[in-house]
Amino acid sequence: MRRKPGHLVPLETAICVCAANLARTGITQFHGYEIAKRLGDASNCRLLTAYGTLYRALGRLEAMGLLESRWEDPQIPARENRPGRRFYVLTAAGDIAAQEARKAAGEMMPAPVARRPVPA
Amino acid sequence: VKSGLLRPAVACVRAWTWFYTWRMRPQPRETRRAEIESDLWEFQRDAAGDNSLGLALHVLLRLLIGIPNDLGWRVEQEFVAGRLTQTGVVLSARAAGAAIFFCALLAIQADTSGRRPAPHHSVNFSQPTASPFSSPPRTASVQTRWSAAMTKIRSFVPALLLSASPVLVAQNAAQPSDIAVDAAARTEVIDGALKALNDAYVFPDVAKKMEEAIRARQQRKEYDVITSGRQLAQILTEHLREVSHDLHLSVNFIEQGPPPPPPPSGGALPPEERQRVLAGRQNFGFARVERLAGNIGYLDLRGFMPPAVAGETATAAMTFLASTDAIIFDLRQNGGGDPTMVAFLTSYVFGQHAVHLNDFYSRPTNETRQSWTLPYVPGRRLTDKDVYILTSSRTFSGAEEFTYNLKHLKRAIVVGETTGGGAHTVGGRRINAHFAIAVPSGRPINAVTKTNWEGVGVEPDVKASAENALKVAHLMALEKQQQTLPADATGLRTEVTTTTQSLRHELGGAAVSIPTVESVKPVPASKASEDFESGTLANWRIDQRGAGGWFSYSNGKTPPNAAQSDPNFTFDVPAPPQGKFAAVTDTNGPGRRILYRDIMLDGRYRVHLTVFYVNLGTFSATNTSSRDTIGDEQQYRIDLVLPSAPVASLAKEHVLANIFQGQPSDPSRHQPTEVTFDLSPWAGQTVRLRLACTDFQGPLRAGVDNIRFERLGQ
Repeated sequence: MRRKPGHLVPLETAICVCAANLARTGITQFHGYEIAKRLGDASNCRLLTAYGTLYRALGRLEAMGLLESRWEDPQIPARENRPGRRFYVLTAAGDIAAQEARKAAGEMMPAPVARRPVPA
Repeated sequence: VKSGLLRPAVACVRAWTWFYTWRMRPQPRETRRAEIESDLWEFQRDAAGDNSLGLALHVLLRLLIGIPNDLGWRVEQEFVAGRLTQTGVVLSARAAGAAIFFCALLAIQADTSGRRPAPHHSVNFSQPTASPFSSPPRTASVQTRWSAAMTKIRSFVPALLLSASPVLVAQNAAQPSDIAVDAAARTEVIDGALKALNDAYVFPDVAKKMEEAIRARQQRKEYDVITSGRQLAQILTEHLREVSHDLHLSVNFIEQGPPPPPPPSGGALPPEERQRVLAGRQNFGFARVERLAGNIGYLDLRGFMPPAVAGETATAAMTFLASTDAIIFDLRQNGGGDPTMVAFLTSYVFGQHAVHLNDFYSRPTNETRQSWTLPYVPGRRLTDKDVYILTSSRTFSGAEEFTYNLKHLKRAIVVGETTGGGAHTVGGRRINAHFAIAVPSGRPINAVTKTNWEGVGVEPDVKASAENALKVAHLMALEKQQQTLPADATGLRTEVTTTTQSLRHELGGAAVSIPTVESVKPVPASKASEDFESGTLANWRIDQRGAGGWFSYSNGKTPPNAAQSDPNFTFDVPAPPQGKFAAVTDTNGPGRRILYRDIMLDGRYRVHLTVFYVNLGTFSATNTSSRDTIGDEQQYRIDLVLPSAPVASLAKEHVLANIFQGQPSDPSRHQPTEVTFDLSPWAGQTVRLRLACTDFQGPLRAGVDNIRFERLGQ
């Protein structure tokens, strides 16, 4: 897709909105697989966003300053014997982008979705 | 989390991730691999116990749909790293093909067999962090039912690796030395680098921004995972350049070389001698000096070493070229060097009249040094020859200075690609035994443009691929040569004609867009008015044979260049009739001086010129010219000519109109007088305004000022 600088593609908007909704429920950080699942739930699509599409979008959002990311403390995954997670946090700019996207979609707040438990 | 069909699918994702991040910069590569690893783990854990065929297909679909974005991401990353090459694109394409092949094989297998391998079978295509060659893909433990598909894969993987990367194999063969760095060492290097930048980086505010960025990354513990000294230097360089975009800035890992050889009898060499020995191994950058077909000179220069050691070789090369008719400087593989060598070589293509090149500001000393061409050079100058400079995207630093100076002084035609874009002068500082930093601490300020080429490079006048640049410049030089060859040079004319033909043939379509030398960049008439108040003749081209030249001057009693002014004929011309500056010819011997400019008449115009002269000879009658060119006798004439015509032609088919001409009966002193000429017959065309002065009978100083193009009503 040909992109204009500063212009969000639908997936990027969806990530911002989804992250903003999560933040309202008290979850301020998420990792890649988690947001893919939430996006799938929100859109009722069982197929999760493709790896390349998802992580490229996350990278772009971070480069645009709408997300920030950090790796979790390496001791936690070492203790739990699993790969480390990269956590993303919606920035203030990202929150504004999400609000604008909501406004554009007609002031409708998406209803909170029924969630499958996500591995912590 | 065990699930028979899921495992190969997951392995596919790993293998693909490994492929498309292969040969990347370490930081984004490791981040991406770790992130995918995390995603795969979470997915498998989440899906424990579900239908394994569905899950495997799910993973494969997620993989396949994302492939275009993976490749797009890789290309973006290469752009960020500034090293996107065709090879990179080809590698990505091969990797894509390989992945699709893998997936197809596995999908077929999953579909037809439906049987699960025994749990101990391991499919491990790669270890994510290992280098592709130190740890080749392991597929040997795969057995039994998978063997058919896996045998294909096994035979395919090494074939792919070998076909894709002979270069990598070669790189890997020589293991560079490295050291381990711990937290204390990392801090020492980072602190040392930031201090050096704050002390000396040319822009203090940018140094501050770099410090903030690095400190923020440090706080996010981004450097904590780096244990290799080489990698630390590389990543710091990337992060610093991300903020400054300064390609001269680098943190360098220093290999501990073998101990220096014992000094030869007589003790160690003094530094200059040592430099002479080291630089001498490269012949001081002078890789090739040649006479190209058609008597065009060619110099392939790979670096600018200080004249103190390289001057002799430079002079020899310039002397070798002194009898050719045009010079091509090939800087396509030149990464720069010493500004004093730039000034030294530049001096050869100018006269003894000093030309101001650059002011070099240095932050550490808060000093600005001017760089000028030299009044004397050993050997012969190449003052009257056309100069071409070949550039590539790798032309950098000092080589860009040489190009930028000559381009803006209108002394050379630049052919090739936009150059690398590094203008700053650099000082090396040692951080500790293993690390050093190159700190860009100074910047040039060009005498013509008052700025420099940092971050933007030097634009060529004639765009050509680096590969074609030499042929294009050679062709341009030959076409000029064809127009200016004397009638008796029959052998050379044949050489020029046949070479021109073969070059045109070799260049094929690329030859069509080559402008003739004379018609580079015509200026629209609406912008062509010239009051000479810039104090230079930078908007004009000058063609001269013999002594003297055209000059900008401000005082009618002071010669603009005493060395080129006949002492027996005191400089005494009218003061500039308009403003502070005007143009005049001056000389200390006979010669032909032509000042010209190509003008696009974007409408109906009338031209006004204020003309004057002081003439000690007698003007020639128009019809006594023995040849169809300006060159003999005594003339001051202003013509409108075809831009494609030889610059000095007087042939009827070339001269559109005569605007002014000194006549045999005219007085010796002509006070400033306005001449007006209607250009409307040539509306819509590009024409050349040519002011020609020749003085083979007696000294003649010809002047002009306040050239105005007046737009006429419709």
